[in-house]
Amino acid sequence: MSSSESDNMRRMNRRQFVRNAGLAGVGLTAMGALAACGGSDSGSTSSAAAETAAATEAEATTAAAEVAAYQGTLKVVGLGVDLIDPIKAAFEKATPGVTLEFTVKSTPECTQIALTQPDSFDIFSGYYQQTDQVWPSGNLMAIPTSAMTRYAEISPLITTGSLIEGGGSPGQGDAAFRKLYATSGTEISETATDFLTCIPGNNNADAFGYNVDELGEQDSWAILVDPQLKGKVALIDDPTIGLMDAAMAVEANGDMTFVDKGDMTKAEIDELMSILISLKKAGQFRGFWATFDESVNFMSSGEVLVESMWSPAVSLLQAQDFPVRYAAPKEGFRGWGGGNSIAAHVEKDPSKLAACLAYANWWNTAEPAGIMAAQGYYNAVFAASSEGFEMLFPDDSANYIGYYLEGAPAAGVLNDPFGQPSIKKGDTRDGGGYEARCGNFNTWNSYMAEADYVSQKWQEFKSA
Amino acid sequence: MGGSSAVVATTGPRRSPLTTVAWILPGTIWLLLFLIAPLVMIILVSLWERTPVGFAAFSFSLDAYGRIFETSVFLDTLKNTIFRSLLVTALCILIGYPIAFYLARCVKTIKFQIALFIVVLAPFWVAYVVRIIAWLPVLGRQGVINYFLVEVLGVVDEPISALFYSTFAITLALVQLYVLFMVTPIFFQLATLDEAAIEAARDLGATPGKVFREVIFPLSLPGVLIGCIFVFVLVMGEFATVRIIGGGTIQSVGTLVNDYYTIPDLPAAAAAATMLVAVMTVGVAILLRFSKIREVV
Repeated sequence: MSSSESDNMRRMNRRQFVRNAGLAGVGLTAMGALAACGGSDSGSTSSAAAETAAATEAEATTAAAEVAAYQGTLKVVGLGVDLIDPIKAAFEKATPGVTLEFTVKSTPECTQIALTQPDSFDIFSGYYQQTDQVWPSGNLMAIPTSAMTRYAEISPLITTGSLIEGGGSPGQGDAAFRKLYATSGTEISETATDFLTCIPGNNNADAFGYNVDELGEQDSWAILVDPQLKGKVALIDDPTIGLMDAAMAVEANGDMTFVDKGDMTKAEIDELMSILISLKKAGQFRGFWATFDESVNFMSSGEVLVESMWSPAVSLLQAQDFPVRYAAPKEGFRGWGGGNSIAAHVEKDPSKLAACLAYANWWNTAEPAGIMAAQGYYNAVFAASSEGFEMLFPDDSANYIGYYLEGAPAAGVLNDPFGQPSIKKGDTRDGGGYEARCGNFNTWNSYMAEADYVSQKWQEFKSA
Repeated sequence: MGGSSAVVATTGPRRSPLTTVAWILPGTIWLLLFLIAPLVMIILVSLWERTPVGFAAFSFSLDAYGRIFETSVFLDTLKNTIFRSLLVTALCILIGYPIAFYLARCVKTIKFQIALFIVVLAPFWVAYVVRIIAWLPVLGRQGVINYFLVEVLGVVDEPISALFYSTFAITLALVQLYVLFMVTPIFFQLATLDEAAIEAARDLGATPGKVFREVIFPLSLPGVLIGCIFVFVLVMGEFATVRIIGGGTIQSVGTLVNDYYTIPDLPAAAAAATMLVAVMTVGVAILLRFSKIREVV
């Protein structure tokens, strides 16, 4: 009783923090610095911008009261796995007067909207592999690190690529730490600066999902190209993700090697595609899915036995007692991560900017972090994941933290965030805990320098 | 002067030219705004240069056409789409004509005709996407047909994959979706035939088969033609059915346009769309030319 009461208190405090500190103070601090950084690439160095940021920070406290709390709608564009009803409800409850309008699209569609309709949204719920394509457009704004409430607490995985100093494999491609920082509104930095491309939210170590009843335990990406599974394999219809899975499969199968899967050469793309096209012609691939629901249907209808999959899709099927497992490939995971970026046009409206920052920062708090963590995601502010479990499952949080974050066997049945049982007693998470899974990346979702060529080849592959 | 004549015209039995203009105007504006303007826009965009955020207006180039014809993907897909459209149109005639004939000539009372016509329309009360997805439990690997083939009849050992996420499934679904566009115009044509012509044929000793071949069928051709135009044009532009029933493994010009759009390569998407419109226009022109529809109607 008292523990849940104190939990509620903490929730209230955090919400008040979001409302007060977040809405006004943080937003205003950001404003000054952003004015210096802006969308311009006229050589505004990070140190100059940082000075401005520091100066404005002092003003912010006194001027905080001057920014009227934003009342109205914030338009968010992103994926269906992130922009779910419980998230909308939780934020709106925590932030009276602000309504969220979610536009749910596939990853390539989100990129397309960010590029060609920059005024149609306020917040871009994006992923690091989209940064190379979207950032140079100047349609999103650089966010000062000082505007991120829990910046000091971000996992080193996100800021430097390794959880332990010098340890683990950060993986090839668009890893979080390579796409998190910006030097201006149009340029990305692979090393830390005072500006962020987004306020980092979730990340995970992804693999393939498979029907364990039919296939037994599996631990190699090579299964995606196993001719014995002809017609029972699906990939995601997005080359920044699906091509990575295919490349790891072909490499694991010993068919070819890559210098850098995150940035393939034309010759590598040609070789990989010719392998994939002959596999497709032989009937290897049952389908290419574009939406989360399609991936769930592919697996649950028995049309495929193994496919590119996302963690919430696996957890949804497990909650329905479907025998799906999320592999821990010996070749390493495919990493991904993302966060909330803010549209450049918002910069002109200080109160809306403050609200956008409050929304982006809210993602690093207990409730949203918990909702996502119970589907297998990790929060960039790692502590927020545990806080989320403590808040959502106050009586059993140690069990959730043990299973999802530490790699311990589940001491009892675990529910998904929507109240359905999803993990059975005694189950251990494939790949183990946070450090084991996020210390073993093969490659990350990636947008390559040869992206146009990849798109062309991907079309050829789908039409073959 | 014009004003006063308009007043006279609206009250009098004959219309003045001004009233005629007034009647034509809304339709013309509608077509200009929602048909001609978008078409002109698409053609223009196809001729503009691509930029990372869309296109650079009024910087003309043919690069977009170069890009879509750079590999054989677009041309192959275009050929497949035309073939699929012709096949679906032919199947719709084969299935739709007997339905329309039965409704129009065999059902005697208008009450039953209307009732049965509503039954034929029933699938259209269900959302488009639902009608598409509903094929999975029928044709899927664990669907009804495979269940019978494998478990009940035992004629095959493994479920047949080619029933779904295949060209076969797409063709079947498209016929189901669009057969009504064939039934309806044929039905109306058959229902309004000149009964005197049929009577005359019978009086002159024609057998029922001969009446059908030489009188009813030729007179119903305008309906068939209108149905063909509907089905051909609709199937040529299809992308959702192809995307969902094909499981992403089969392309149509529509899915390619969508792909170009999301890349985003808007000029290439516009170029592909322009090619599609051009092919459809030629197709419809051929249909009209060979059928001499104006003479029949």
